[in-house]
Amino acid sequence: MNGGLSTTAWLALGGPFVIYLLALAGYYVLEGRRERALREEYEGEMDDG
Amino acid sequence: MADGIAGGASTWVLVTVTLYLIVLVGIGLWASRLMDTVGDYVVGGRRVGPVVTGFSERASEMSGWLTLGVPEDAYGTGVMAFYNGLGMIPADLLSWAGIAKRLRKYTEIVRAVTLPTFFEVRLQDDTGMVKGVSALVLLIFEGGYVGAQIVAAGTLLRVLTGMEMWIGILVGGAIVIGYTVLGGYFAVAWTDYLQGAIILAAFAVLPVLAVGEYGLPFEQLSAMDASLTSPVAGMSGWAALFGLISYAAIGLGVPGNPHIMVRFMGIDRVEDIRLAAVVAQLFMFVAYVGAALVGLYALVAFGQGTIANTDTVMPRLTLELFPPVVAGIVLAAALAAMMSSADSQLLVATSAVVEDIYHGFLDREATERELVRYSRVVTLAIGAASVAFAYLARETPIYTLVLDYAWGGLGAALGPTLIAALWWRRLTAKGATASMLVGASTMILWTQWSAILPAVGIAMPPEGSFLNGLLTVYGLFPAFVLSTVTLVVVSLATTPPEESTVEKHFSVFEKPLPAIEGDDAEDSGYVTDGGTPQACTELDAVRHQVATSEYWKDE
Repeated sequence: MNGGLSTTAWLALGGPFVIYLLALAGYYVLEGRRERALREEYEGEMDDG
Repeated sequence: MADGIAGGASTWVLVTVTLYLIVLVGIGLWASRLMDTVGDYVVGGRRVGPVVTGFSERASEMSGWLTLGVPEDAYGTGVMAFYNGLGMIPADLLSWAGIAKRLRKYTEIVRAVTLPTFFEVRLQDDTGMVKGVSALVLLIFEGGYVGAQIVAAGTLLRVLTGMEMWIGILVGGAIVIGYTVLGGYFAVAWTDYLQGAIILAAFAVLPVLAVGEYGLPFEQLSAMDASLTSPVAGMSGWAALFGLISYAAIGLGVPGNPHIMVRFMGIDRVEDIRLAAVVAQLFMFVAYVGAALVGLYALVAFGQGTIANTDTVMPRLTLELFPPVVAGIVLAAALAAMMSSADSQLLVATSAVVEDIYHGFLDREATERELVRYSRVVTLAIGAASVAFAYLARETPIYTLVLDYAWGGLGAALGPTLIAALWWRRLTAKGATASMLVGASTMILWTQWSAILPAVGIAMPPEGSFLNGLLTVYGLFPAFVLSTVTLVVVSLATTPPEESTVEKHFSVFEKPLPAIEGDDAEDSGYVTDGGTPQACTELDAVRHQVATSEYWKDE
């Protein structure tokens, strides 16, 4: 028991939140790269537009 | 007269709440001077930045359900209530990643400001079937949503001031309706930002104070009842599995709830969407953990089974731990969250009637001025109906009221269609319509099994059995699944929309918006909503505003 919760309970309750935080960081980085790549690819059209 | 629980603090609480309302009305009046088109009224003319969008996306959804409902759930269930975020947080991230940008681009290109209009244009449905059914779904469940928020506001006003529940409901309803009519979305977005910040601070600080006062709660909870510290609330087998599914299934409602989607449609620059996503997600982490901790600390502070109306555990703990003035601010934030949700949902229901039914069917030549005026009248009418609903449903727990009668219905009816509209070219109008009807009716049916089965002479299956778990699982899970299956089967069996148009629309997703403008600068062939160039849903006005705000020069 750790502070009244078993280790399993801590893992079961906290695990998903840790995974979600990592997923958020991954999304932010990858989405930024994707957006940059799109803008570079369509640079000419954007200038024309 | 019921006794208030504020005691000596009630004067300060009332002063705080009154000041808040004055500020709110002031913002509404200020915004009403800026508002000149229905595009402004519904999506804020798309002049809303990423941080404001992120906060308001969360604040408008979280509502009385978060501030009163989740603490109430934790008070009854224990640590399993942390799983209220189990499905919601990833579903929200997936929506930002997979829906926000596509919806923002698509609705800009097809010039749609409401989901029913978007569905109609995307599915090339000239019969009005998709638009009519989706508008009806919106009207019913968003109206129910507004009612639930007004119940929450009435509950809070009652426990704080001692006023009777029906007076609390009337006062809460009057504030929400008046504010919405005065300001519309533009005011909503900015006040949501303020309210979001207050809620976040409240749910961050309250547990910290509680830790200082009581230490970590888990040992005391364990001594009180071992199930309170069990991640599955002491359940096992099918009951535990369906319990977890129920919490996870709450997240299925995100894509179908238009008050969240309309925020995606209103963001000013597509590039900013990922920043808005981070803001909204971090908000969720703090708010969900904080709200559950508030319920757990209420158990420690007041004991198990000592509070008759468990919807009041959050205000009770607030008054216990904070000095009166601070408690007043925190409770004003709770009230603000309810108002925030109710006015957003009232706007969505209004747009369903004015844009999708009146402007789409009854008077395609209506002027913007007429539509703005009608919007206000319709807001008043739906608001009044919601107040009546709130009065009838006043004894139902807020947690259940929101999930069963609003969130779940919207999620099951509209979620699968929205996702498919953005990702599956083969979706048809008939598939979408059937999916909406099946989703909405399954959701309504699933909450009533315990009443329906005994009424027809069939006993509920024994607790712990698979069948009992299935019949008592949160209805959004089966409703969403059935809605999705219906959508796929009917779409595959019916004629798809014209491929070249769909292909052209879908090509939008692969380009940044400035490049899309280049493609469509001379293209006037897109389907429009009202049939006249001046119609508000043409979004000419919005496009102009977007241009002047340098949206198209996004770098």
